[in-house]
Amino acid sequence: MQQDRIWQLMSRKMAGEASAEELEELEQLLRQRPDALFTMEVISSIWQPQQQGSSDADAAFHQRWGLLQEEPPRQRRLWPRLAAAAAVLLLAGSFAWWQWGRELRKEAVVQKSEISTRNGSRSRIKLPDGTLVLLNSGSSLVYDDEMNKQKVRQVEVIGEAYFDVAKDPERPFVIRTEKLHIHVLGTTFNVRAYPEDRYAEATLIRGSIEVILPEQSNRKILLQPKQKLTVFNKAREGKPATPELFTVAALEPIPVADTMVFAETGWVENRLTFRNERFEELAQKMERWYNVKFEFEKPALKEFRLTGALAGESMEQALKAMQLIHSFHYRLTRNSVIIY
Amino acid sequence: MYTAEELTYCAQRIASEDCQQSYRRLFHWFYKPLQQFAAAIVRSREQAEEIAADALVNVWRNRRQLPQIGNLRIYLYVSARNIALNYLKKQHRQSTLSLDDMMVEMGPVALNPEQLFISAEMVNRVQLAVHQLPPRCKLIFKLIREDGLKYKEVASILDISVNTIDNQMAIAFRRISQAIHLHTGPVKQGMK
Repeated sequence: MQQDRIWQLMSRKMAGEASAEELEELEQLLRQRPDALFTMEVISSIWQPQQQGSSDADAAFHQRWGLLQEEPPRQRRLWPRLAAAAAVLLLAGSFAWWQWGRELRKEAVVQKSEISTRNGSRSRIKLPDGTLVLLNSGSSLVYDDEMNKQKVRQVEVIGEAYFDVAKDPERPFVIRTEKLHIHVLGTTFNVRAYPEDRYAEATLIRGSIEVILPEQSNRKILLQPKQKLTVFNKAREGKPATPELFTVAALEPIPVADTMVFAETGWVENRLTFRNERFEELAQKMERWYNVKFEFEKPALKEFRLTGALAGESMEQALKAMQLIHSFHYRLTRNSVIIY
Repeated sequence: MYTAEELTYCAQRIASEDCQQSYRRLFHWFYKPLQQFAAAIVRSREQAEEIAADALVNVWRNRRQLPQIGNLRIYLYVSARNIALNYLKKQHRQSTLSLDDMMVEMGPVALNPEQLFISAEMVNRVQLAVHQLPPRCKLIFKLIREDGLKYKEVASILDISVNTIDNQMAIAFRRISQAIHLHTGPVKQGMK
């Protein structure tokens, strides 16, 4: 121990941690130890680290900076919430996803059923095993008619769906989307995977799920209740494919009337909810919700951020409410809304 | 390297002005050291790159809170450590830091050009001695020398005492000294 004192002091001196007394003590000790003095000279000559190449850092910076620019910022809420009124809109429709269906047919061994909803409509489905599925607008669900006979209950989703999975410890329930595979252990959650959106999301309300990212060497993520996983889509303007990024975040409730709702699952209660969302992204949701097309004549308007919930409002009522907070104009044509 | 003032200045500009240039400098200063630190924990270079970038991304996402963060360096290393441990947990490997099980990679040792009397052979010996340090000792030595962290900072990041750092640094210095004097001629022959 006493022997090591000199090395302790030398290290402190090098690291700039030594007090005046310690430096003095070191001086004393070094007087009897020329060998240690030599060591100190050698070490001090290499103490300053070499500048390390920073090209990796730069590449990482550019990649992450690009992704950060596309994220909805979380720190500010520019819009107060919109008042919510109650009304129910539930229409079921179906519509063939022929291209997708064709792919499935190739490998189809058992009879599969497909349920689709068009924009502006939603659907409620009870699967053969008792699982309840709410399918949001512009989405589709494929499942085995004989899923009760399979070892694994498996369904495929494009778009958005809310699941209340019937418990069956013997047979796991697996939901497949392009970006996310979700292994369910008896639970309630929401999955959102519209191919045209910038990110896919899995939101867990209760129970537990394991999400597998097939495009990230099957990386596994275990979600806790009230957490959501977001996976960003690859294609970005002009840039080469970058490794995908995902985030896991706690859900933040939005106060609506006298209750709290989560933006992620508000649609289940016939609410179109949004938290600090860009107008452009909200417009995409409204397109599905009201079955219209949005067009922006002024690109700057796409950047407005909105927080709120729409329940029974007609589209025009909704637009008028939004106009109270941000000044923009709109006009309606036969099948689209033009924002200017 | 950067000075403490530069770091504080950058943090202020990021927090108050969303300054992209300052944030980029942060990447330059910390990406590599954080990546090496994370690699020591997860033993995977690719994974460590993700972790280093994620830790830096956290700074941007939480930039409004930066003024409340006492020490940005500790914040960055601790967040890299936590992300790395989370990753290990998900891999069902481990969930606490095990300092004796680290895989520490050292940067190259460079000679200060002013000190020409020290031979390349001597530098090699030092380098070898450093490489052969036990993992815990090596990591602490690296964080102090290469990353320029203070003893107290390393103590918070690794959750150990300053006393432990003193002892581990003494081991590193003693071993380096032994390597330097191994087979060396008359200089210290008489000293013993």
